[in-house]
Amino acid sequence: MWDGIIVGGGLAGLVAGITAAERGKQVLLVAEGVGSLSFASGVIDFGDYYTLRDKRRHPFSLISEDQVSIAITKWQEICPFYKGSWGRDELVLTPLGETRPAGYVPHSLAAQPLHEAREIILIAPQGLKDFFPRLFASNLALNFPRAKVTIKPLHLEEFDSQNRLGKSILATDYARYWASQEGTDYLRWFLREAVRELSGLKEGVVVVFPGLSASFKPLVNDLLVTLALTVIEPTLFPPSPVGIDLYQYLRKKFKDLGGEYLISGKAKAAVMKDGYCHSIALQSQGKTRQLKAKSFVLATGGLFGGGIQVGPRTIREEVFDCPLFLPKSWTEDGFLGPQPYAQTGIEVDEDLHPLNSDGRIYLHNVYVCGRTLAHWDPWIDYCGGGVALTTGYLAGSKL
Amino acid sequence: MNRKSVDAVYKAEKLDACIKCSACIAECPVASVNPSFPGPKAAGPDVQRLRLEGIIFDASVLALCSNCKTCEITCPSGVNITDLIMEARRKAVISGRNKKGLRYQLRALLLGRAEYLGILGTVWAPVTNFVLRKKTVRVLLEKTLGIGRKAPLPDYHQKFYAQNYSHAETKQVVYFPGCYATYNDALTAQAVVKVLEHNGFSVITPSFRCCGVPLQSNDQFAQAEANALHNLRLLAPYLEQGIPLVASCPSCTLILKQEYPNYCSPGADSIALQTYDLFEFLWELYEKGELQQDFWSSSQMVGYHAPCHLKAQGIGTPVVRLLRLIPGLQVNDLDSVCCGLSGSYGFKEENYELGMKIGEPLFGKVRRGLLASDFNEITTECGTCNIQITHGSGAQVRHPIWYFIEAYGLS
Amino acid sequence: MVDYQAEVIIIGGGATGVGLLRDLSMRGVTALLLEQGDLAHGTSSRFHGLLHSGARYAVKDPLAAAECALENTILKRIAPSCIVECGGWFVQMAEDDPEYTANWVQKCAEASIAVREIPVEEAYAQEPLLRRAAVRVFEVPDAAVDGFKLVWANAHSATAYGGVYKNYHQVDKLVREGNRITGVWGRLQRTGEPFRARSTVVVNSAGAWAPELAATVGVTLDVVADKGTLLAFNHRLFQRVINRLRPPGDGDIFVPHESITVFGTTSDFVNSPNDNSPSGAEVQKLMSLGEGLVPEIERFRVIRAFAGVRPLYKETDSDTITTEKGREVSREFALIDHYEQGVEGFLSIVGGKFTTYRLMAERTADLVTRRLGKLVPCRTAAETILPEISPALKTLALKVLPWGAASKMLERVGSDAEDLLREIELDPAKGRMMCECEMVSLAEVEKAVSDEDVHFLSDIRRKTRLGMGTCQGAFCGYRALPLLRLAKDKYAPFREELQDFLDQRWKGIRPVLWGAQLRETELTRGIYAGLLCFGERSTGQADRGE
Repeated sequence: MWDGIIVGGGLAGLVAGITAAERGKQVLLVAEGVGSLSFASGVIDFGDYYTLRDKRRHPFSLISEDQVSIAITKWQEICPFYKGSWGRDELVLTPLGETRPAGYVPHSLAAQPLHEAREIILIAPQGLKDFFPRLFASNLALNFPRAKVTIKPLHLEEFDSQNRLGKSILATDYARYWASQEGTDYLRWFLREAVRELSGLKEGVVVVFPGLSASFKPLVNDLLVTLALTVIEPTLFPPSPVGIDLYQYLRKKFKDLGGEYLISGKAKAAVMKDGYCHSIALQSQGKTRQLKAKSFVLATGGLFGGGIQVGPRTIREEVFDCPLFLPKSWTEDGFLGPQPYAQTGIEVDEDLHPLNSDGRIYLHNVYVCGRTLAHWDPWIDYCGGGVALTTGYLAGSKL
Repeated sequence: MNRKSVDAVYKAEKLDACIKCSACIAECPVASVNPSFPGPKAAGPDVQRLRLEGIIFDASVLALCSNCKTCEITCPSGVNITDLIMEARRKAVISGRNKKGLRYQLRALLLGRAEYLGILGTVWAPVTNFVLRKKTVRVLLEKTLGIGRKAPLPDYHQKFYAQNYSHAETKQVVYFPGCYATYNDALTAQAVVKVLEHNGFSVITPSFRCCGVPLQSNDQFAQAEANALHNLRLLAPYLEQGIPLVASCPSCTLILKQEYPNYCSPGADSIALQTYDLFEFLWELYEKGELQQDFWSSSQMVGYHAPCHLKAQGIGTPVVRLLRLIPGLQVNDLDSVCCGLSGSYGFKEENYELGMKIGEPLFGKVRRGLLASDFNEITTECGTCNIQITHGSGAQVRHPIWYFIEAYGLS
Repeated sequence: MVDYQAEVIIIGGGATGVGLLRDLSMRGVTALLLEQGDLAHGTSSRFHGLLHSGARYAVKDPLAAAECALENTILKRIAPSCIVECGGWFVQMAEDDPEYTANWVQKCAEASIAVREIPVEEAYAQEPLLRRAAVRVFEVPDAAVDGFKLVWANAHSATAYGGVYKNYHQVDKLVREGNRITGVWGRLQRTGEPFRARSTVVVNSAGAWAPELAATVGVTLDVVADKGTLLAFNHRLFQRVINRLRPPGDGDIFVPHESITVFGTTSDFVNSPNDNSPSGAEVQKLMSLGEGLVPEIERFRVIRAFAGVRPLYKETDSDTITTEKGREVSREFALIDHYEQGVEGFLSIVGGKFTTYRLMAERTADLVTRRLGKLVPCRTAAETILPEISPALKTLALKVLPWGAASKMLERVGSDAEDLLREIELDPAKGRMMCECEMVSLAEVEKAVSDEDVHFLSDIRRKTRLGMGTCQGAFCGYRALPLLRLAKDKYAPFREELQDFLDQRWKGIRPVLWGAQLRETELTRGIYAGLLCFGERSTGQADRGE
């Protein structure tokens, strides 16, 4: 019998797990795969927090400002290399070299220094997949007109065979190389050379280096500090090395705190009675086993993660069969605008208990967090990370 | 038709589930080191749509897949990626499209039939080991058969024999030791039996053939099938009586749970429910209050590496939970990825360096942990992970059962 | 202003139009084809993709059936690279009328359509997704045809014979001098620049737009616009065409098309030929009907819905009764010389189906050449449209690209692949896949981009199939756009272009937004709205949908 079982290994689930494990709880986290952090940029956004908080039934409206503040403090403890605020004061580069505001970012992604730059050196690793140096550079030039932008190609012997075959190289493969001692040594030499070669100025030089993921690599980070170089990374198209690094970092933290991480298992069909969940069924190779716990956290990612399965005629939350909020209309024109269907999810009270349609608690020992909640849209509200973090923390503190 | 036809709707749903996120490519150990392998997404769900169109694919690219199952473990959408690749490989071999040179075929034969090698190896174990350590022999093996000269071929020892005390009064369990334990590490197999007996079970050990994993990895699909049917025939009477089957090697356990149910044979319908990873089994005993916990305390500090095929079973890491029951024993989960050997994959000359590269992050963690005294030795359930970790990091590696032997005072 | 001259002007670049262009060019007649959009942008790219054996019409429309049977064989001979001879089945299910089946078998024989009965158990073994309620199963020579490819093949071949086609040339009106039509006035769609063209004969092959065009000179054409919605399933559910063996109705055909399955269709009269948006109701209807052949249909992923408007000809003094339902209208074609209505030099070719395009073109060309006084026989039934792909080219393709990509490139580009393959041989980076779902390489995209008619992502999509696969452009959209923009030497407006492209895909995805396609859509929104920040921001004020 576990103290708590968390279903779902994305940001919300992992934060819930870390929070609970730190409190000394015996926690099991069950995930089908690596979750959506591998496509995430690593940026934790809160969007226009105060407006969203006042929006009826938005997840931010369920938690107090104090709780958000505590959650963020907890996050800074877990990830001290993040900086920012729950406003939108940080600046981040998109994969195309444009800028956008952000809340909390790994410090290597904080792009504010570009405003003061006189010279921007854009590193272009050869064959880097889904990276367009000329387009990127032209967007940088547009957004930072005071700086001179130069593209500096980077060619590694390590990837000679890929280059000869004309294959593109994933940012994650480059990132893995930078994490090695060999890679760090190369960086030391390369960065010095690049700056020396291209820059007459000593001040005001900013290097933009896609795919470094320096925040998660102590060796690289130390190197950059030693070189006294300002190096910034843009967010990247999936699969994102920063997202994956964040995921692995959180998972390791969870395990180190004593949590058990069960991957490749699909949770289904809870056994429930009188408003309490007694166990969930875990489907793994060959068997279905009942897993018992005192409480459960549902962090299965809603419509996006697959926690809410949508068919042509049916919609269902897969584990606890929670009642769902369904919007009256489904889609709108204008793909990138607000889409009603995205508001689908589970309605909860301020303790994150799932509610019936009459407003009464559906399950007393279950907490819902993250995307699975109703009445918000991570892409339009720009608060995906913020909701996951705060509600995940809250759920973990209640186990 | 020895294989059941897998539900076509289920197959279609799994293929449809892929949302092209590329998480599998980012995690694939092979794709990260071998540019000739296009990655699991490409070799699996991407080209499966084209395979259905009738486009014929080059099976030698598929053979670059090491069958580690990391992609399936990673996939957030539940796509059966490795299945798609292996199924395509099987079809290519069966259709005869995959004609390879003699050298390749001989090597496949040799590396695939772990048990034949094992039988030969154990007959004159000391001589075999001596010969296989000789540099000239290894260079010759590399040049003739393509077995990497530096590859950590395991030593052979006395073959594992168990006395089958079958007391009808005691609880019974069937034990599947696997080829590594049988031919290369019989002491571990005996340790497993002792621990099970200590917990009140009589252990039945039929003469199983190789579970089939190395055979499949070396394109010997027909032989793998023949072995599976043989093993199922041996198991059927026990499964029928509700006797559980326990395996100490995660690769064997995985194929028993995942593939054996697909055969048309008595026993196939019940094998998945009744097969357990050794520590999965012991943990269930613990949950039922039936596990002997007369443990002597230990001062061991151990680093644990979870084998890929264990992760793929979706049972978590029961061995870590169990080891933490032993007072004083400290377990540090390395949270590591593939060791790079992947069965016989890393033995092949063309893969040896790649395998070492794949395993390097793990070797690094081990070396650093040993230096920092986070742990003194490494433990892992898989025999080939064991030899690879030793080979790459110099650490001593033991099967986890040994900690129980010591804790129970059974050595 | 440009002033074109030709003996014949053909209006409409669908299958019939390009077929006619080729036929006339082969007969030494100078012909100019004017198409308002891109070739095949009308019905010819929005249909089932079925090359009819004729069996479907054997009972209802025996003449049409016989025509199909003949043309089916001809097209397989002259355009093998555009056709996949997958064969087809007609399946009588438990609730279908056995007498209809008996009648159908007989009528097929009368129309010379080869029919072979298959044991039901064998059918299930070959097609495991087929509903286990089949009573009788028959095999017919149905095939799958790539409409777009075949139209382009005709156009290219026509050019080789001296024919000229002009895309994005909108014809605004016909020029009438007394009782003769002497040409047309139009403008370039892109720039609005006017042009004119003069000819001896003008042929109206504008499909669903034909009545509009004829009306500009006071000629009425009894053509009704009939919308048919189709669903594209993510992968091949069947290896052959599957038809329901009962009177032709909605939702009774599954057609394998390259890597997907097309299922349809529906039938509703619409007011405008531009009304090609699939509706939610039509989609639901199709899904219900589809269960009759595939009971688990709801569990399979649909990547998009699309609709085409069929021009159906109403014969006002024929036996066929015109009712509300589009299916009672004849699918035979009609070649009308409008001198009957007092207008000379003007013909319309209307109705018919894709399978009989060549025959329609032949009849029209016969009439045109008679009017011109140039009696040259037709050769289109005998001569292949495209050169065969040589074994040497196949070998080169396999050497330079992985198998899947090689096959797909040859399928799409045919003999023109040689230049691309040589390029990739010299610079392997050109072999990188821009679209991984459909295996479209950088070299192919660059070639498409260099085409003067290619301005938008949608153009690249149409020409290379980029974005037609599982992810519906989520990843290849941002990969291809920089190439396009680079070639046209501009980086802005990047967002608008991508947004436009996504909005167009969205039109097709909206009605089928469930299952894995919904998750894919969320990932797509995550990339463009979340990561690239291309969309509106929520202010939290207007709470739409509550």
